[in-house]
Amino acid sequence: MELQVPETPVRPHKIASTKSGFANFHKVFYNLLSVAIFLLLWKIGLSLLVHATYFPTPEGTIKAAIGLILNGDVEGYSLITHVWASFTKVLFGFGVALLTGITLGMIMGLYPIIYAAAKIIIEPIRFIPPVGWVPMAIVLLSGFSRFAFIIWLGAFFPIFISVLTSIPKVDPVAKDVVKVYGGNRRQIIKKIIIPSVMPEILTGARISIGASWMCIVAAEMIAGESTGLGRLILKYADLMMTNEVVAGMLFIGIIGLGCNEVILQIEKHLFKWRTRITL
Amino acid sequence: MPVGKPRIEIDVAHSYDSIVVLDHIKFDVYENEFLCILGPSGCGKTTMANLIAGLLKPSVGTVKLNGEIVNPQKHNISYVFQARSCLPWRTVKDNVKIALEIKGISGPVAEEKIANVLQIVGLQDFADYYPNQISGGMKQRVAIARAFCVEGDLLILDEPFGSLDAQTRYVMQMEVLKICEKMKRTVIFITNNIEESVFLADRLIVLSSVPARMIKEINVNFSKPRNVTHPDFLQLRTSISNLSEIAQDAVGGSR
Amino acid sequence: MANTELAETGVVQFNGNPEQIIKPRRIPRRLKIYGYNLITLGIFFLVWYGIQSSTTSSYFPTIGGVERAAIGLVTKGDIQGFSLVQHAWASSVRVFAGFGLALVMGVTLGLLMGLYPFIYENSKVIIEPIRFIPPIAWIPMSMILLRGFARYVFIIWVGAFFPIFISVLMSIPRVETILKDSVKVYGGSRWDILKRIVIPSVTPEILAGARIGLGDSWMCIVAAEMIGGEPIGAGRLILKYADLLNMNAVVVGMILIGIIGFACNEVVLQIEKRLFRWRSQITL
Repeated sequence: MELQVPETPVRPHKIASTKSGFANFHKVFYNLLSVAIFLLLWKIGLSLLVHATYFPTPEGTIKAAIGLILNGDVEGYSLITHVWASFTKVLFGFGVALLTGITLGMIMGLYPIIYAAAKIIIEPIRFIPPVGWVPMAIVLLSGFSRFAFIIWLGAFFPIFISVLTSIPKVDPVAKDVVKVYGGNRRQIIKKIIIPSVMPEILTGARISIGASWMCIVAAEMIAGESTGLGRLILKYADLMMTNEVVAGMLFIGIIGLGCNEVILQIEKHLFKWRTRITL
Repeated sequence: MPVGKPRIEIDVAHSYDSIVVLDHIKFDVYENEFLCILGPSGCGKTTMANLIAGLLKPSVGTVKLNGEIVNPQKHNISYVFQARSCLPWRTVKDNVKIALEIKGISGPVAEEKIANVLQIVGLQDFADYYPNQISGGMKQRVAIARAFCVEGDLLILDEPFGSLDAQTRYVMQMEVLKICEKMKRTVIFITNNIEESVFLADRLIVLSSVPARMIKEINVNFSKPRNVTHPDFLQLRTSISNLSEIAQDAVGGSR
Repeated sequence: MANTELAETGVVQFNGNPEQIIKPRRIPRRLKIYGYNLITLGIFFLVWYGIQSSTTSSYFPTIGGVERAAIGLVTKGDIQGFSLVQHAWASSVRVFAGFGLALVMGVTLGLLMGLYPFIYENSKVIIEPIRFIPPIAWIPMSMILLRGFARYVFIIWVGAFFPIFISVLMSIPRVETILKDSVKVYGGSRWDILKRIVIPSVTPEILAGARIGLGDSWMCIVAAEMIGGEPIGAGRLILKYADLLNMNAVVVGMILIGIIGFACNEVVLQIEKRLFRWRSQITL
């Protein structure tokens, strides 16, 4: 008697499911509620405070924000100028860091002996915070290169470390697949290692852009020209205009959030084959 | 039944760190035969598979394919791994394609091969799905399809059905037989399941546990597909399982 | 069906000598790596020397200058009379105060919001923008509204709180359901699950987040000290000497900052390694 096996079709799983409309509405409502509660707490806090003169108020902040957008700051620089000034530096430093981080990370990941040998130099530099380099950068470099260097320091290490640590994690079975069908080292790198580490590179890039953003703000505060978001909020702090300071901070936060979201969306889109995305 | 000149000549011993894994394994594999290597878990079967495929260099001895030292870059070897070997970032179709890409075969010829082999394993409707959307059995079928789209000197399967449920396992065994019937290949099939090996093999080699030694070589002449309930089948199966128990004791006694 | 033929091969011994199969080790790898490290160090100093000889800037730090500055700072202290130890201590105390506070609050709030995701999910619109404001951006505000020690503690708190909070938050849903079920099936209460499963699962991630938070805090304190400060603190130290264009001392200060940062990281890393031997892999 032969074995009869019925055909059972397998349903593919869906990767992402969109929430129903009802749940979406709920979310929006509760989010607005939390904003309202936050504003309420802010006001209550204000009224309890004794030295309320300098403390920022919700209305004041909104007014300041609008003022900044429309009129620019006290010295006449528009908000766009500031944002642009900071952003170009970040992009440049980040770009260079991306290139150098990925290249060096791959070289040292594929030839770990180089990393082991160079560790003695790399580790100390990694642990000096980029802000620590600022005084040196002020004296020895000038202008654009000053900032680019600081940002590069902040952005390089997250990407470099991501690439470095993700290369040994590549599934050895996947590498064997290429080897057994006759692939050489170059093919292993191109077909297996690079696709495997791409997700980690992007995560590293996300962390990196956050770090770059932090560095530019710090660098501008310490050693700034007259434009740049960091300098902007310091300027207003010197003038004791806290509403503007808060407005500026919010702008900085929103831009940082925006950068993060952009990369996160790229990640989600490119890596449909992943089963799990982290924050 | 072994015919003619041996395709593959194996004469190796292998150690890993300071442990002897394979203690002198010597046998030959003949053209178009279905050879099963049977041994308990952890006896070094995968190590041996890697040695035969040329992924690993033996500590002592050689593996020769058609008279030359085996070299995956020169010879056409197909391998179905024990672990999941589907590349998660490629679709089913691209996963099968990678073997052809490496060998430099592309274009309409390649497409035809891929379509053909997907048809044989029954995955033609899932060509554009990603591995995380298909089941474990299907993933192994992808690996099998990949192995079969390359005109090979040798096909190695390392416990390919180990992680599948019994039902799927039966189906897959039948499929492997069917495919090997259609496309003549020299096959080395590694397993720790006695029934599976008796069901599939033309010839059977039994290994002991670590350090692995050859205990017995058996020619199985029943016609295929085999009936697992036939008394001859069951007798052979029982004799092998008795063999393994004795083999275990023998290993224990000699220490 | 035809009869079977049993071909007996018998057991083949390979000359009985395992030494013939096992290969000997040559130079131990450790020694090789130390050697390479020394070579790299040598190259580094060579390059430094090369740059310092060829540079036109009279401010470039020289190897000899840094050495002298280091000795000077260690023995005599800086120009205002504060010793190196005082600077390091001042910075460190600020960090630990702020960090400790952030740890307590981060873990508590993280646990709370992790176990009751409702609150977090619906306040994301407020929390996310605030989270993305770099702690350094809080410095001007803290300069106006707070004084002295509180100023620094606040900055450090901002730097450390969010990494810890997020890491606790993200790790709670990652606790394997099967482990929670094991407690539930034996009649465990919610509190039991929390105590026996969630907290041990989550602690490694908390410590990893804490390590990152500590690193961020350290960076913030240096920035904070540079921007608005009292006369002591590692950040202030290097800025002071930068103002005086004494780059050699600046380098010494930077090395000091790096060492403290490294030490903080190492301490937590070692704690992680000891406490969590059951983990198979610790990352950088």
